[in-house]
Amino acid sequence: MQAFFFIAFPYIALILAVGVGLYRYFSHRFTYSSLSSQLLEKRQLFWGSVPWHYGITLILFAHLLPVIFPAAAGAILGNHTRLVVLELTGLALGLYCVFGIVGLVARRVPTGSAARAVTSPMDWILLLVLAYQTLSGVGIALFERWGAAWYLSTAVPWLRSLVRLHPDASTVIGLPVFIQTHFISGFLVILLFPFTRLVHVFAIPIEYLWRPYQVVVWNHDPQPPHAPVSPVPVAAMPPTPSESTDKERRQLLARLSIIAGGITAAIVGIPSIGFLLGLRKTPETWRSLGPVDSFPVGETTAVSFLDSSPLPWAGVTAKTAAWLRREGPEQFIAFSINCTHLGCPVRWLPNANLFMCPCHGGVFYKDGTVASGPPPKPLATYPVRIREGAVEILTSPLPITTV
Amino acid sequence: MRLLKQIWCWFDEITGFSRSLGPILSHPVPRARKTRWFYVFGSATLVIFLTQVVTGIALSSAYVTGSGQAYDSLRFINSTTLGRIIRGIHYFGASAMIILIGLHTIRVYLMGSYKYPRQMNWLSGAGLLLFTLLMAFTGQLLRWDQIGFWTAVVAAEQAGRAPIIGSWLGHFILAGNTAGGATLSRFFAAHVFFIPALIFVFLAVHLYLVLFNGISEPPKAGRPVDPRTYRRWYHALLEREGVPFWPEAAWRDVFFGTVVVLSVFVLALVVGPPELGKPPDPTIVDASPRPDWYFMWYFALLSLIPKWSERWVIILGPLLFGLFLILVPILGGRGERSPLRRPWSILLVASAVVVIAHYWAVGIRAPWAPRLEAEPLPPKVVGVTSGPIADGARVFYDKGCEYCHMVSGYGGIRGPDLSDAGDRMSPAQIATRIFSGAENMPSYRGELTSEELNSLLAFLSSRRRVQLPKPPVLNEAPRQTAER
Amino acid sequence: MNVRVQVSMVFHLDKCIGCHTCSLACKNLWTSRPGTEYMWWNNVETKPGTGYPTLYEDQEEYRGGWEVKDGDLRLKLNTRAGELLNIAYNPRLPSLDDYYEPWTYTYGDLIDAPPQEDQPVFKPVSLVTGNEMEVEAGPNWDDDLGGSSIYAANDPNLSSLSEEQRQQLFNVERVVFFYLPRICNHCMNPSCVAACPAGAIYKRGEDGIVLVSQEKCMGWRMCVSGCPYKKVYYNWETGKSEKCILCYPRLETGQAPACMHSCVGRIRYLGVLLYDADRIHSTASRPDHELVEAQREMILDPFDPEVVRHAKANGVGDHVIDSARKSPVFKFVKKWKIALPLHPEFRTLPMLFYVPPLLPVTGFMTDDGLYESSSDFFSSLENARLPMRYMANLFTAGDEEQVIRVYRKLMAGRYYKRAQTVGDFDGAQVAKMIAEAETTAEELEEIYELSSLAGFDERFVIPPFSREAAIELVQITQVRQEGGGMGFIHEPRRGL
Repeated sequence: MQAFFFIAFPYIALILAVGVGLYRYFSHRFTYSSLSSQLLEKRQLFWGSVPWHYGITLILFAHLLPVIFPAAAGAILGNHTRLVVLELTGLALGLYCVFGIVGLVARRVPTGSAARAVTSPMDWILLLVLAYQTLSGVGIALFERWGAAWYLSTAVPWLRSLVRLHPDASTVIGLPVFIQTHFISGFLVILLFPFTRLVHVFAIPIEYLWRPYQVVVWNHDPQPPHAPVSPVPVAAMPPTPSESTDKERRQLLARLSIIAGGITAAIVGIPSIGFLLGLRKTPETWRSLGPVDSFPVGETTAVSFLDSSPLPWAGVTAKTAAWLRREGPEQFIAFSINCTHLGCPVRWLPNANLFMCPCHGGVFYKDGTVASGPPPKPLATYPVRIREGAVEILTSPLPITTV
Repeated sequence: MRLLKQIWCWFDEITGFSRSLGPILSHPVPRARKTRWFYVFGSATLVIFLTQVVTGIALSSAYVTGSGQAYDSLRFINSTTLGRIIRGIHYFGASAMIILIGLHTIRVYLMGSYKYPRQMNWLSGAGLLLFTLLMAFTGQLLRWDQIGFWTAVVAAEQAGRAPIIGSWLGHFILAGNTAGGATLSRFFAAHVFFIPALIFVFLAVHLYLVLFNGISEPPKAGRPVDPRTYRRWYHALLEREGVPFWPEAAWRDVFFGTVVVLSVFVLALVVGPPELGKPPDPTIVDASPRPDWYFMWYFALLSLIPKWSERWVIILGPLLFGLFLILVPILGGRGERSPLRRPWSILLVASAVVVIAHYWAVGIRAPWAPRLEAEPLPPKVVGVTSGPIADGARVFYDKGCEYCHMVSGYGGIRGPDLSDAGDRMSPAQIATRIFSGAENMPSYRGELTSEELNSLLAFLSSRRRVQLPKPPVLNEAPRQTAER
Repeated sequence: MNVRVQVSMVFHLDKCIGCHTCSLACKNLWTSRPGTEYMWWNNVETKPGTGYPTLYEDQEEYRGGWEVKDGDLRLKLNTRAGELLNIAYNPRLPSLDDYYEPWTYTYGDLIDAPPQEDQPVFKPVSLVTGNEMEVEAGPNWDDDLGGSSIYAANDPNLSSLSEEQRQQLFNVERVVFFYLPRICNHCMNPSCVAACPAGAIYKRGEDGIVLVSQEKCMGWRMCVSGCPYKKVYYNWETGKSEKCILCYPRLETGQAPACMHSCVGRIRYLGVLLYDADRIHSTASRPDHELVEAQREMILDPFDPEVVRHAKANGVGDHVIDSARKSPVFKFVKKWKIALPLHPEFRTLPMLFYVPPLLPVTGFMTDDGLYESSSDFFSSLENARLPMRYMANLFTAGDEEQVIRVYRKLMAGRYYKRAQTVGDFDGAQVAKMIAEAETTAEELEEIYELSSLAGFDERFVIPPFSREAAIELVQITQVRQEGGGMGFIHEPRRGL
């Protein structure tokens, strides 16, 4: 059952939304409209429509962005203060939306109101689903706290797995049913897209920002001059397709070609870019540096070891170096050789007990803290342990100083 | 001869080249009198780019794109005579391309040639400028020696300063967790396929636009560009006094291009390609990464700006420069073209050139870099061979003071010159500074024994511009003079 | 010079009798579907009066049309980004109350009522909700001033009149009004097109007719606010905006628009104009008092060989140029300069023109209750019943001088013909008037011919539009209309 709701149903909803949406667009385009009923009343719509549209747009972005950039979202939410601020903002927006949807429902309820008269059955279904979706969202924000954080480890992997066509619902199956209904009704909203006035979402006219103000349409090609009416009687004229159908056909052909071209580009482009972007995340491994006794106490020595993914053709670049300092009989500390300023290799000056960087003269004390110069952070360290009398170091990614 | 002509006629008949390309070659261009030699930089950049393409293809036929083998393959190329020459041409060609595209940009900016209708010419050219700089950067890196390797690390670190995606971007540039096996391939693909492809596309657009909009006429003070009338006026100008591009104007391009290529060739023969450094082994830690000359000024800039501003400069600097390039034609698309009526443009170019030249000169001196290769002070500088001053001189070297501080011409220039420290500071002041350190000096608290400190103070106090008749004894000589 | 063609109309207001036949012809043909009941693509307003929808001319409220701000021509409504931000709720949209709630009557009650004491009555029911309703307003609620001056007193065009002038206007003995038939102006610089976020409204290149693409329209409703004449209407049933289409299916088949065809007073003239599309922006940016003259300059003379050359280069055929030369509109607007655009200060460069009414007075009641005829038969401009100020507010953006110039010519024509046919005027006086009006006897004769005698073929001059295929659209009118309205290929069914 859960497999249906979390694996089959999302795909069904998406396929129907796209398929039926496109069908409706191309063959019943007249039915695409916001179906506004503002004209029929005075200001009631303001209290519903404005909070709803602004609120839900922001909330949708807040739901989508972590799916697209989970790592960045994780980094942002890692800080407790930021998490609290974001949660509160989300809750406020949610309540704003609830206010809006209640307003939208309320104006359609009174029998005899003009808004009621133009409300179709599908409008009611849509309003109810949206109302449930908003209310359950606010409910989650109130009673299942830190949703912004757990969303990253539950729904985000699931949604990403759906996108990758490797559906994996394991992260959401264990969630409380209340939360699960929020997910399901979310996809129900997607399913409702082509069957309700929701289609207007895809018609938001962003191009208005840059299109020229005036639109002029020529039914004839303005060049060259077309001849005056032909004297041939209508019946004798060869059956040619009328201009408008010809134009429609050409428009359709042009659009189909553009879509086909886009698909081709995507087929070639997406795997290529994906391959480029894909970071081969290699496991971190422990590497032996030699017996404990070969490192005198209080001294700092250069050690080298293979990095975590020594590719066969990497040659000398498969090696990595570190500065290993034995602080006590059992205490080791390993510094990255990369200066935290711009990554140049720091050198150890044993007499002065300082690390010095040749590039811009950054200096670090023996414990890795910044002594002088431009480096913004202390030297990065590698985890070190002692196993069976040998010092071992954990290979780590190249430390990159971020802001 | 007749046969050749017949073949050409047949070829032309079936291809139509003379009909399609002929008008392009002979299209009219405005007559430029005094400024006619300023128009050659763009075409020379194109010529040198083609040179780079040819030599690059030749180099790639022997270069091995593996982090482990690239260095050895380069050594092999270097060991052959023609390989050396080709590397030399590629290297000096790169430098020439940077200089030429810079001159071309300055010429276009000063003459206001980016104004209507040539805004898109400028924007495509701005793209080409960006790609040329990227080529220079990635190319230096492909010389996969120690410096090339560390350049990749520095690039990743710089990208790391981008907000939010920094770490991800840095590792994307390195193609993995560490700079290693996959890194070089990534830069090779960028340098050899991706960026050149972009250059070709932009070049096509750029050249098309040059033909479509016509080459800009020499600006004249008091003749502003008005988009409503410019095209009509320009075509009238061409009809009135245009000359065919080929060969009336083109011969200067050809001549200058030849001179440039010849100079590059001579430099490649005489000076030869840059020597390879140590192998790209990350465990050899005594590396001193330095960019090639064209980025030296930027390298210097990053060292000299205040520490707090660094994160902004690394990210915002290039962005602002890009924004400037984009905004120039958009905001200044009309009006006066002549630099005489646009004094700010002259000032801007002059200050940019001065700033870059200054930082470039500074970058070559690199006053911020410690001289880790400094030798111990010779006795003739110290003045004595034993006693506290001689001990102090040894401590001065051992503790690394000399890497940053110069004494009588020996040592680094990162810190203040201490040749006359005794004149300027009392021993107590010197001791305070040694203990407490400073923004650019580490604190030596706990690192010096009292004997070491005393002898160091003795040594430093003895550093005076006016040498006393005999080597002074710590704390005694001044007191004696005072008593007298 | 970028020559384009515009099908244009002139209304000779002196001839309008306010019978509303045009409105009904239009309604029966185009707007008898659900959702369109309140739409009057053609309506006839009583002036002074508040118009339809109420106070539509008050652009401080509705913000239609364009304004010049910091030397820049921009929509009065909002910026582009501002429009998109207001897309969920358009604060400048008139509500149905500003028009009226359409209703019908329960006529069935008259037949179905059981035997009873009282006479059965029918009640008004709303066509929107189907419920019984109180009728509070309807189309032409203030027709012929609605029996009181309170409607007319709200006319925004009266705002710049002095208190004295207004008093005089609504003095019972002198009370005055005239009719103003209005359809979409098919502007050269349409602000509805510019305001439409979806890009659904467009001006046809061949004939300048402004249309709403029913497929592209997404119901964002900005056109309704954007049009200063409020001639785009939102269909609350289909969620699409609709407007006057200048009966283009009829034009394309050589028939006059329904409103013109049915006009009892024969006040309408239809023909093509050539205009220079390159000058639209600069003309619309001119100061208020230059607008009428600048627009007239944009309209090109089809007899000028240079114009003809550019027109041909733009694909305008010989038959169109020929028709432009015979165009009655060209004569009224450009040649004789006696037809003026309505509210040029909205800067949409409207392409319908009005010959202002003379409203002659033959006599009035004096204070002692005697009926006294004025000494000069046709009255004079100085004591015109409608102040020149008011006419200037309507037709010349407030510049009385330009209105007076038109009236001088019209007046001269009257006196000239009166002297000719009745002979009770002094020839010298007529000659003086002709000179003052800067016209000639020949021109006045021509004006007279076209104003009073012209037959249908002289009032309606259009070139063939080579759109025979369009016949299909109107071939089986009955089928079309019953299926949901004229002009629709598919039945215009509301979306889910």
